Amino acid sequence: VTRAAVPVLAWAAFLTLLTAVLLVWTPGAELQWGPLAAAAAITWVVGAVLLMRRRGSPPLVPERSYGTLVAAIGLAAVCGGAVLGLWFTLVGCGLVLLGLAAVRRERPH
Amino acid sequence: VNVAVLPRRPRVKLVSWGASTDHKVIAIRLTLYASVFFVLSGAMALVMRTELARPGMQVVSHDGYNQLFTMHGSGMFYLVLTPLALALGVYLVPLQVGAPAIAWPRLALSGDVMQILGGLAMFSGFFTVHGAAKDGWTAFYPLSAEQHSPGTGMDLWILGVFVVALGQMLLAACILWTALKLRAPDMTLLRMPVLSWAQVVTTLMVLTAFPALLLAMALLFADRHLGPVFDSSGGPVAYQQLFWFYGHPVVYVTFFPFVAAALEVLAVFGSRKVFGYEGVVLSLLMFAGLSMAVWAHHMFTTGQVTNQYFSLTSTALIVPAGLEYFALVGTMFGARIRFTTAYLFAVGFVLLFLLGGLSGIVVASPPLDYHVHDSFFVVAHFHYTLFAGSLFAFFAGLYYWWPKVTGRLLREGLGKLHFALMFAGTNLTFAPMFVLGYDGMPRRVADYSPDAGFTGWNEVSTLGSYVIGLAMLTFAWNVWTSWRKPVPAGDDPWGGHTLEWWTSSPPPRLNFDRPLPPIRSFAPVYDARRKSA
Repeated sequence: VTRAAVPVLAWAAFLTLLTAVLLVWTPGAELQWGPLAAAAAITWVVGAVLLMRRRGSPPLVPERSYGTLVAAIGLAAVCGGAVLGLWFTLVGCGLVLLGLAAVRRERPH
Repeated sequence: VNVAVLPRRPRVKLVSWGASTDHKVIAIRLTLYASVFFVLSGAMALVMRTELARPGMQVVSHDGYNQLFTMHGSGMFYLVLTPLALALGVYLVPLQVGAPAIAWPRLALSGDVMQILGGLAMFSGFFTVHGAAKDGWTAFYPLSAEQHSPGTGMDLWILGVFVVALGQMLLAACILWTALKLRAPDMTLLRMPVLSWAQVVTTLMVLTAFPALLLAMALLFADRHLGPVFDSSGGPVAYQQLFWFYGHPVVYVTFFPFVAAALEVLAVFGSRKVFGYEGVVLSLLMFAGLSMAVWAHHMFTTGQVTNQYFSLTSTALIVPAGLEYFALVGTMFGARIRFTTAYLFAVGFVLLFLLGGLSGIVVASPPLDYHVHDSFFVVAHFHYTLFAGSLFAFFAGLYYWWPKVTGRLLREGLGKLHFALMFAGTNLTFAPMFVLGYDGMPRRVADYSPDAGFTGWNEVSTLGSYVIGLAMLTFAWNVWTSWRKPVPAGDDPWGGHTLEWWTSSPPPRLNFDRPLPPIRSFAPVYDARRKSA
């Protein structure tokens, strides 16, 4: 257990309280309390993850990561396929795979 | 044979620079992209103000005007202020908490790439047949539905917003993890500098509020191409619920990092520590939490939300805001002040944001909001918070950290001229809008009647916008001068308080070139300096 989770869990508790008040006020209005409840839930999850992980040093990564660059462009292209067509999504998928393969081969200097 | 041999100029390795996983380079890239989009969005604002100076249509068409105000607002929110707020965190949080790097640098690099690609997608709408998006930065339904906003420009806008928001969530995760898990051994939570705390709450808001935007954009796209999603009796309001659940917190995302920057500037140039540190931390957490529960005050006039609850939470924001103002004023009180450009911008922020905050009380109250809703009053209110507030504090931070990032000083004389023009221009531009809005001039219109009595204040406002343009040119001239004729800054030209000033300027790849000083408070460098003195 680490203290890093304390502010996040406190924040999650505060959001839960705000959700509860809204829920009591307007129990039938799911569209109002729903997003707030979802935000509280996300915060609880982030807090739980923080609770379980130890403090540490950042992992060693290469100074430049061309693989990440290609994969990120690919991911954006996958989204862009929704507008530009299936061919663009396929190009994006290819770039993501290519980028991830390159990332696997990267070694920190 | 006489042969002139020219020295080989070092080539800028653009791809290599673009693939860097160094958090400092990532932050500089984010800032550069944001600067480009700021110039574009700012130029659009000047065109709009020129159009509004007189009744009638002189410069652009109605359709063109709709595209301009949409892309101006979208550019400023999605591509300028939010990336700048996160760029501050990406650059400074690892340094301030004593970490050698940011957490998950590859993820941060991915988020950075998505900012520029998403921005290009949004702006590429101008080159499509129907033009760019024209439904405002909110893209309210049914205006944004396929039958009312046909064409690829709107689709590209949705795509761009989706990609940009996704990237911002990745960047936020990296900053949050760095602040909470990669701190130096003695850097406890209550020894983290104010800016790092502001980044913690900001990134929490990004991670919890931005998914609503992703969902809204995905559903809007589906509605346009796969079949009706929001096309029901409660559909348009459902879209607004999702959008404003993102749309209000993002205002604070673009505020907290800058108010913290202003606070640090006031402390350093006042030669004292931040006043009421624990109170500031508490108020940030409370402020952020409450601001997640106020979004529906944008929808008071729909009659579909619980006005009492959202009016109560909106008004309750005064408590943490008051605590922060107390800290800002307390830090200035009794200080030995050095009136640098950074300090002037921070004081400008304190004064002008107060006007933005006080006018917020008006729109937080349903009966008053019914009168000014969708009028220029609202435009004045949010420009006083976001332009006069956030941007002034950003410039305070920029003048303060510029020597750390570049190793060079900006010219103080040009900086003070920049401040004076900005201060005058901002008030000339936005103060008249309060009057115009109160008198009934609606926002998002390209024209108004010559008999409405709006012309005089609109002329003043337009004149003010040109003064702001002049201020920005002065700043650009300052940057150019600093670039062409550099004045070395040294490692700590201001007598900074936090760990980023305990290393060279600019910092080395792994941030620190010497052992860290003892960390006994949120201002370890200040403590070390006092001890050695």
